[in-house]
Amino acid sequence: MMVEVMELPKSRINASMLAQSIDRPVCFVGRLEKIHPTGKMFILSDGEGKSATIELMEPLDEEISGIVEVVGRVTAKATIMCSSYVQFKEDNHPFDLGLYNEAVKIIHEFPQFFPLGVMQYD
Amino acid sequence: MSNMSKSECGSHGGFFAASGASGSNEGPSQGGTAPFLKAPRSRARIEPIIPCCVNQLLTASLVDDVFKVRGIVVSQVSIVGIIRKAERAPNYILYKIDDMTTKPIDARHWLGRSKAKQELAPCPVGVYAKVLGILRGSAEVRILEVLQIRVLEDMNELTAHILETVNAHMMLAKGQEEAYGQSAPATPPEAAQAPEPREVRPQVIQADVLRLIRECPHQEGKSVRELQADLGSLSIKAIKDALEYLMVEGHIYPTVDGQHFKSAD
Repeated sequence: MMVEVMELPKSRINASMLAQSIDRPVCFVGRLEKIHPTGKMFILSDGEGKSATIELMEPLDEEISGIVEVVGRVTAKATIMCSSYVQFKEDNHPFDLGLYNEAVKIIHEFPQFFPLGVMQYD
Repeated sequence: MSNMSKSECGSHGGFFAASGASGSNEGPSQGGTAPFLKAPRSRARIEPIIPCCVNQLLTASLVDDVFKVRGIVVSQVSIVGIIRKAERAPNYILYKIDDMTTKPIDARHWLGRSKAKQELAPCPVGVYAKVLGILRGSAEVRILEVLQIRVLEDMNELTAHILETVNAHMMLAKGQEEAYGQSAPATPPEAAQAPEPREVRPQVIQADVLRLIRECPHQEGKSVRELQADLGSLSIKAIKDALEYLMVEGHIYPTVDGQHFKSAD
């Protein structure tokens, strides 16, 4: 369910981690590379230059560009079904996506110091 | 979404620690250790701000009114997350802050009586903010009492906060581990100790331990063994608890091998 994803713990991942995250709620930050003409899909590249495909239930209703943070669930095809997104403003400071990628790797290397919540099943 | 300037929503130049004294403004995040807040009153008290993720705050243990994350006391904390909700009430603004690690945490920003504060607009929803606050609540319900909330202008602060959180918790855990990890084998089990450990209030033990550390003339500081010898009737656990408290409060620091301590004051 899309609405539930808001309340669930979401793992910050990069594209290399998509395959191990099938069906899980995730948070993906990347640079916009391409938007599909239908507006229901776009491609983001992560700090390692690898791509992730983001799918939307409804077409985009605004222009997006630059760094985008997507929250959603990983599909069986290793795409992300987006439930919400936020654009990172870069007016004053460019976002260092490479450094963010390092932070993502560190979260996964030291989960005891940046723990992800346990999913509650009703 | 309207373009609100920083000064309009919830943040001011300084902020007030729980003691009621003013502290310094926290600038853009640097790497390394958490910044320290010093309250200017007659008895200087250093209270660190521990960078955390929301999940750590919501799963922290609560014993004797003290929140702990992996044995580390957390009181004044900083988090970075998206503002999911901002509700205005007459005396406060209630936010819900989501940093993805678990469900959003409630954060309440009490407004003072001044007219300026009464007219304060809430921070906008859907943007990232850095929140400094005090963790409050019970075993079941947690709330962050906001000292300062500031919309992020530089999204690299998100990355910095993640790195600072891992770094801070790792260093604090390492400090504890070095102090207590290796000393056990030589001491006899507590049940076998001849005199019963006396029941003394923790504050008295902390004061004694701190005094002995300060009085020690050695370059490398006072060792745990020496403290045990000096405070014969206290249990090793009581001494270790006092050392942990003093370290977290910033009064002492471990030196050569984590078994020796010097005064930071």
